[in-house]
Amino acid sequence: MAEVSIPTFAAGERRTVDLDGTSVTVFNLGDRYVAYVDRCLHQGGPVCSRGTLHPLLTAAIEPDGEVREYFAEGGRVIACPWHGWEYDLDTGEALWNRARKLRPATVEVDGDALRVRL
Amino acid sequence: MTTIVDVDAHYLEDHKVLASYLPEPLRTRISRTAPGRLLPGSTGDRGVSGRIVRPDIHYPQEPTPPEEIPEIMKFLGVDISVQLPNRMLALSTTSQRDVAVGLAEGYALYMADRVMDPKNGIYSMIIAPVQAPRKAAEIIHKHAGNPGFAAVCLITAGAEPPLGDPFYDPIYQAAQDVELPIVYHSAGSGIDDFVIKGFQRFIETHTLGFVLFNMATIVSMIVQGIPERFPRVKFAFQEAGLFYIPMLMFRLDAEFRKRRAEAPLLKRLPSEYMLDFFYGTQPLEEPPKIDYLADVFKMIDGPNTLTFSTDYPHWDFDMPSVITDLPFLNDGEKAQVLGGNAMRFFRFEGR
Repeated sequence: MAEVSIPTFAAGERRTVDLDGTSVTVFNLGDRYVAYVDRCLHQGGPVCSRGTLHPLLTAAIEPDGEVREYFAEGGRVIACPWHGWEYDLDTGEALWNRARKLRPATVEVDGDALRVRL
Repeated sequence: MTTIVDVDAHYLEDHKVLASYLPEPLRTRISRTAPGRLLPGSTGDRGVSGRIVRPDIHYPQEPTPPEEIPEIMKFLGVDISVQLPNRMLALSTTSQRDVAVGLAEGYALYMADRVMDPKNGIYSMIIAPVQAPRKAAEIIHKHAGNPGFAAVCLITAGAEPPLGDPFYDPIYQAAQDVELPIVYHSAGSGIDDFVIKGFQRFIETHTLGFVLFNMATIVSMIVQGIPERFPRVKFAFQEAGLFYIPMLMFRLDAEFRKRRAEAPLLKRLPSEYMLDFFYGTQPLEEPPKIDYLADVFKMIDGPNTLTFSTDYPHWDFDMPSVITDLPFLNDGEKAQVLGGNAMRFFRFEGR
């Protein structure tokens, strides 16, 4: 099992580390840390280290039949810079099919340090 | 004192400032749109409101410096690159003959002077202004001797009449005379500019446009007998994926069996001509079962007709892994698709 220790960092930021040759990105979501292997499920793009962050755009059909697009509260999305595949940052799930997930890594907070394991 | 009123002056707005006055989610959508594409000529925001970005290169914010091409080739893992100037993809849509001819001639000079470097694998194509076939033929003859020009390119989107029309004969004759193949390059996310108006999203126009214009071109040039009339020219079709190819092969065959009298020049089934053509792989479809893709490869003789292309840095580019990862091709077939077929088509060997 590969493991690396890094200092904690501020909410909203991310750090990418090397775990025995595998690039893993750690995100501080404010209330917790999450980490995923930095490899898009599509063509292997650097979705985590280079991906752009977006609110979760969704849509609803109103009672009058109109379609209303809106940003879902609390939704955090990362999009791969290569082709735009979007993932739920909290879960790593692909938005087009939530059964498809970024490979997660384990993050443990230990005082001022984070232990990242794969 | 005279008061002077200027009733027409122009202010170039900062679209990000403008965005702050808009309701959500339009505010975010516009604020993350690439500069210059606030209200594009089509429904096109290729970057999907900032999701797809190219932070390591100049595109799309700034022009590509020629010295960036080798770096891009290294990133993509390609050894030979046929570069087609980005802005020329709209060339066929203008009705201004002098502008089209001037741009085509200027681009040929520009690409030869600044961009092409065949010794290091960087090639381009002579772009023919379809609006003025005789002028196009002159441009082809003038530049064909430059080893950096690997083909004559016709931009299919917007070409009227369709590209099998005898109107274009001087272009085909010139390509045959100088022994260069013809690449039909699709475009057409602007399908809503000149075919059906009213689409709302880029995903709609882009899904349809590229396929439509390649299909229109194939139907026109086969039924009008271009392969019979210019038998020494090889033809390739770019940037519409694969699945439209078998559909068109078998649909056109069925029509031909019933309506052969409308295409008496043809000596073979349309699908047989189509199997003589080459097709760029990008954007390779991603069906839920790999068997579906394998079946299409079989139907179109993919190991011998397909030529890998990235389309980089465009938003839907493909890496070579889309071919190297295919489980149903052997190593030799992968090598053919990744490079061998293109070497044969463009005749890079021996140039």
